[in-house]
Amino acid sequence: MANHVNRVAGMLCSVMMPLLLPYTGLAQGSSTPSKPAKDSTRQQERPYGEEILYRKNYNLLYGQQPVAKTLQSVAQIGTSDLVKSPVATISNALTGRLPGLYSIQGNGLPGQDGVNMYLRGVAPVIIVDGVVRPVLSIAPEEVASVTVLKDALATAMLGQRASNGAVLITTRKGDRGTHRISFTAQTGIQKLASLPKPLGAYDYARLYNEALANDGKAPVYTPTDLDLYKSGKDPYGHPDVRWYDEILRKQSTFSRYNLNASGGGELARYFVSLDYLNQQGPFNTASFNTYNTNSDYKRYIIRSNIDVNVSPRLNVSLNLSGRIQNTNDPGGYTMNLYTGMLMTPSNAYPKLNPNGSLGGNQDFQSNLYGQSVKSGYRPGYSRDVMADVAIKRQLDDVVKGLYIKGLVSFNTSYTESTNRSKSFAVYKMNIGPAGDTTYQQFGTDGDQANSVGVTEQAKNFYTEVSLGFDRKTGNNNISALVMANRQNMVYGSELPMNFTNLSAHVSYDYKGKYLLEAAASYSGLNRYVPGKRNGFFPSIGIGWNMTDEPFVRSALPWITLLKLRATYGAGGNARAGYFVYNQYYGDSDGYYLGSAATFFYTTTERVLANPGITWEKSRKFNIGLDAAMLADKLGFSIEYYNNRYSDLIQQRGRNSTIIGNTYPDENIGINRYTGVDLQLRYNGRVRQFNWFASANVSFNKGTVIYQDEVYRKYPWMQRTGQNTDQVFGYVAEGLFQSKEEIAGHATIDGYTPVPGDIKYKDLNGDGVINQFDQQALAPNKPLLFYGLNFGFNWRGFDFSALLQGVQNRRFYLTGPIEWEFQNNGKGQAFEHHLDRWTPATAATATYPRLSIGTNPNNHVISSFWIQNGDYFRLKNVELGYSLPSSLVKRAHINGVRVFVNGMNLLTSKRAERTDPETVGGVFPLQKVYNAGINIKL
Amino acid sequence: MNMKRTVYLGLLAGCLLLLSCRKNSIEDEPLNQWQEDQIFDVTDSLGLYARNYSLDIYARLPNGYNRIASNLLDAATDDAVSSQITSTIENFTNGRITAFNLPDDFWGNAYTAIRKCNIFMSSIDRVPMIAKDEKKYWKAEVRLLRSFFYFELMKRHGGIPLVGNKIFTLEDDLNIPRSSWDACVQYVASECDAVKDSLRTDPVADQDIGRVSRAVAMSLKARVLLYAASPLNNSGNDLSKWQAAAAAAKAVMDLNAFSLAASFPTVFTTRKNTEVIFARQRANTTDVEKNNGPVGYTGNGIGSGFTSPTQELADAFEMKNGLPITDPASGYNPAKPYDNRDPRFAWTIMYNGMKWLGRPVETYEGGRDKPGGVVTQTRTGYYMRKFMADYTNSTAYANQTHNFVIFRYAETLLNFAEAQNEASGPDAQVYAAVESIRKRAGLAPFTLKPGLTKEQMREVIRHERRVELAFEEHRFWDMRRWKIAGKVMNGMLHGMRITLNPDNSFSYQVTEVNKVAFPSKLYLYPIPYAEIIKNDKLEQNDGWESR
Repeated sequence: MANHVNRVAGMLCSVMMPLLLPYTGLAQGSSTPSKPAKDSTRQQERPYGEEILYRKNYNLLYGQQPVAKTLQSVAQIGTSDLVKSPVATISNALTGRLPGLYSIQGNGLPGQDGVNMYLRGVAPVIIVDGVVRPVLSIAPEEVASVTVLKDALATAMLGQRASNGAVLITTRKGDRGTHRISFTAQTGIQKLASLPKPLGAYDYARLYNEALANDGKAPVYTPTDLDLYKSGKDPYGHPDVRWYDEILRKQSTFSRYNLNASGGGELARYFVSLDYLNQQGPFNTASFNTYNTNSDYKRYIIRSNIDVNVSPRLNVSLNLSGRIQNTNDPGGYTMNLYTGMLMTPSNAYPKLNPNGSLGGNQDFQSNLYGQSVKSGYRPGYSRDVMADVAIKRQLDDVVKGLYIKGLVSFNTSYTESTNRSKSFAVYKMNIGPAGDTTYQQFGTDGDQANSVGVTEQAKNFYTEVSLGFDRKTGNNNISALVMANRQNMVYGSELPMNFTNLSAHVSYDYKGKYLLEAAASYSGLNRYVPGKRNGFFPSIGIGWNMTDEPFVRSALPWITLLKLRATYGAGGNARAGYFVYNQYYGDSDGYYLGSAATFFYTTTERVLANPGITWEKSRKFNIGLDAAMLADKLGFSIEYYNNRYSDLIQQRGRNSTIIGNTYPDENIGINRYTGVDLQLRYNGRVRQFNWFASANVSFNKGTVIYQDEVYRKYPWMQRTGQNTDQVFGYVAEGLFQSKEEIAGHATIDGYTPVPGDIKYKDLNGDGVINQFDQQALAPNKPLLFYGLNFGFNWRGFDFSALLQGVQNRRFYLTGPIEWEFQNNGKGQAFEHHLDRWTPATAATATYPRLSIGTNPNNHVISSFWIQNGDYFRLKNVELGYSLPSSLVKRAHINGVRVFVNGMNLLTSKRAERTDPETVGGVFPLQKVYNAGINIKL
Repeated sequence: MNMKRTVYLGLLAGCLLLLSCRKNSIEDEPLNQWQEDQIFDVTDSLGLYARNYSLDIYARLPNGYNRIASNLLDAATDDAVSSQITSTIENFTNGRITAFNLPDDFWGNAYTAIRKCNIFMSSIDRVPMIAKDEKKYWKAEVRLLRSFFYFELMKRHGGIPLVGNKIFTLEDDLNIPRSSWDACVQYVASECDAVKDSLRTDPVADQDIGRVSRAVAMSLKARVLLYAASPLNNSGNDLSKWQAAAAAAKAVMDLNAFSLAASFPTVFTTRKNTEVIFARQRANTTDVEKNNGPVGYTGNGIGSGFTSPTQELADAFEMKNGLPITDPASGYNPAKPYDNRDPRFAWTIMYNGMKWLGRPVETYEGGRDKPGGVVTQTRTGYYMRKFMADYTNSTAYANQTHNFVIFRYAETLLNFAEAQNEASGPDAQVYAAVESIRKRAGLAPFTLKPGLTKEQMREVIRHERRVELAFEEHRFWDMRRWKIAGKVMNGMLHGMRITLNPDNSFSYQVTEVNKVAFPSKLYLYPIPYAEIIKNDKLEQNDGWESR
């Protein structure tokens, strides 16, 4: 703990130094107007009607635009929504809040709760303050807004990184004329949302014998064995270990503290923030260890964003941010322990033998209890520094409206992992014929390792110069920007990846009614054949803001915004690999020659070169209608898009191995994504009761247009034309009920089914079930995802809830967590296996008859194992109470608010046996119950 | 004002300069990764990089130890079963092989190796090696290896596409048809002839052990011609094919460079001996012991016991007096089934009561090496012993030579005996070849009954091949080329259930362990379906899934 205090104190010093510097110049400077940062002011308060910012600005790629004039397809949320979610990774706070952004959380580990984001079907780039950098583990208080840039025009200036859209994070700036300090402390508990339900030893052994009998094999458990499992009288010879109870905590803690200060005057403004997050791991620890073996995650972030007006026309801003992350693993690694826990049968071995040694045997040479507390530990450490310096000079003295801006951004990250693990021996207790106890040893008790290795190093250096022009002459508004930028990114020892862009952006409107916008980029990357490294990517948008047209005014006087807009443009997506245009050779396995077995290094041709490698391409079309009415109380926005992606990187379908090497990835595939994003919001007020409700609904359908498909014998095997996430497999038609039924039915090659096996549809009617009988199993429907957000405030109370869900989603549930006795019969079995087919339960069985290991008929990909992935969650809910200001003002405090909130509290889902997001053996996402206090000075 | 303008324009220019300035302090393309001109280097007078490239082709040679889902290929014959309750090796014996499901898919591996050979042969002439002989040897070795990989495919699939010296590019048409079996045999045999005089003569110097020598080329030819003469590929029993096979084997014998090693087990545990003609070289390891050894030991003596030899194989071993156990005169005692057997029995199979790592092996029911329950353990009462060093009195396994033998002189003799017997009957040369193997095995007497008919001698040779070459990936192919798989792989395979009696004696009872079947289409593997659909001209073998 003392370490932490020191570290925090050290950070504070480093923050305060640059913070104090601008103030020294404050007195000498003259007050000059600079662009007011309206946004931030608003976000400090917690007003209603914030989500659709009709009267506000969008934070766009290289600047802001009033909502009423924006042609680009964007959606944005602000700080107040982000801080409601007790999460470590900010992407996890976006789920369900932004139309067009679909996300699935694939991991619930502490500090790794980020979601996989798909923006209109594809994975977007992450941009922080105008610089591409994947920084998502960030404190929500630091963030002014998160904007998704969806269409071609919004990302046109990104060139070779434009195709997939972007998630743009804008950090906060100080507000003029205020000085605010805000402190938030919150702490909560987390629980794993779902775990498979394993069988106890007696049921396990009983079903194991049944499965063996089904497979025509002799039982391995005698009636005596079964009795002992049932009675539990022989805990060492016939163990029944509840591994979840032994390994897992009932719950773990989550806490986060944030202190931020912001404000400033005409001369200088500041935002500084200090954040500490501590997320406890899921495992039990042991008091005999002097070190921590739990997978804890601790994070420290500082940020200092300073803007100074050095002279009336010269503005300098400096954004500094530092982050330290401390992780930990048990010596046997978190995920090995977790998946081992899921897959180890309850009767595999005792936790401890009578003599106190760790239990185990030939098949289980790594005791789970040993893995959790007797295998040492593995601390991890990572640090990130981001520093951005920007200088902007108004050149009104040269040409009115002209300005020049330069930005340099330096980012570095470093991750190391320390290995203090150790091996341990396990012992199998044997009782000889004479009753003598002997122990058979497996493995050895090793010394603790002590080594450290750098697991990741990355550098990212970005420079930008731009020349801009903003001018209003009469009814004509024009704004133009020409930019040159270069990003130099280095991962580990790789050569730098250099993106260079020359880009331009022009927007023009006449009286704010007729809107025209164009942007283009000439974009290069040093990963293609020299001479073919640059591409040109233009985009255009037009719009008609009808609000002020006289006929609208007169016919629809209650309309406050009505805007029609359309954009179309090209983009690129660099997936160039590492200099794949050259044919490389490299080290291979090595070989031995001679009577002395001399080792020789050997060399091999690496994957075939692809001199034709180029960027993936997109052509994106977007059309939208924005409207607000009834004094801005009701607003909606609807958009349709049609995005065609081509030259997608894939290995060619006809990759005959006769060529003698691996085919490279080539620019081959074509996909089309179409869909609709809809957003609707209403703000109401009844006396002191303010309320709002908003909904966003998105449809997205991805279709494979081309993929160099191989010969398919039957039309139902075709992949082309299907949804991009289509799954193929056999069509299950229930379970065989009798020998007679089997006799007349097609079967899998070389397999004689027995009653209780899955019956498959013989699509080609050849009497055999094989690959020719595999077809698309999910309906080719568009994915539908939505969020419903509502809340109110009343006399100091505030409440909000986010419901979020997905429709038309399918996934497979297969493998050792779903199937019985996998891993050659050494795997676990689960409660749902009690519903297996037996002659007695034939009518009600929901699971095939049991077998040992991987059954060639039942344990294959088929519609039997497809789960409906639809779900509907109470993703986030928050209730707060602000103390009356009359009360707190007396204590010279601006505000005190207490709150409780939670994540993933309730879920309605179609898949019974798993969480709908964290599927299979991955670490499940967590339910969080959290409470906190916010004090404003 | 003008002054200011100048300042700002200067500022602008400076910024642009910053952007445009290219630092050439590091390379533009990764120079740490080799390109072709560094492998086949016009300045490499020692040819070191080219040598390393050629040795990678050797590294593609198959290693037969536990290579299919932790099992030996012989676990797909009547000689052994997998100890694992389910294993993909069982696909071979339960009729589950399809063109979609082939656990022994060598297709990609072979064409990868063939491409490497062609690249080497096309580029090696650029390397200005001082040692001209060395360069000549390397070229010949690589060319022979190419044929070796073709033959690996031929014994699996029959005729396969021959690609010659072509090094394919992304633009090439890869719709290449299969050549006929006869054309492939002709190609490989002629390649062997073409290179043999360019190879090192035998025996090679110590540092060259493991390289392709003249005898390797001649042994490959002998084996290819033997397969070509065998019933599977010689339905008309064309005697000239047998004659050619006999002559090719005789040519290896006539080199007088090889002889049977005095001690049978040392053939597999030494790198240099008089018997091994070609072996896949490997590091010193304990993997054979750890994968196949008995499961009841501790510490460094733990085995996984993946291979369970069958009773069929155990019964195939004769008594030490050279009589089969079915012969009443043999002295076989079912109550003591392992006494006085062919010495190769104990070198091949680990049985109950045999001393190992300081104690008797316990494969009786409930014994330490067959404890019951779900732990992987022998299913037949036997473990594999072959290839292991002598651990009778040791306490733990230690690293040792585990080269996988590809050609050895005993096979040459058996190839000759088989072909000669078919071509011209059981003459004295046939007797001599077989008896020399039985003599080395330690049978007393080792002589065969005089006056055997051709058919009787055929059975004698097949039997001798089975016990001499067990677990060396011969039985699997032999039962195919002899077309006997449909007979021997039809029904139940057996093991021995051993019970410890209260008086510490044992009772033996033969039990059924695995039901096997052999569909006739499996005499040739299917072409992998994934290849069929990518090559318009690739025809499937009879009975398998085709386009």
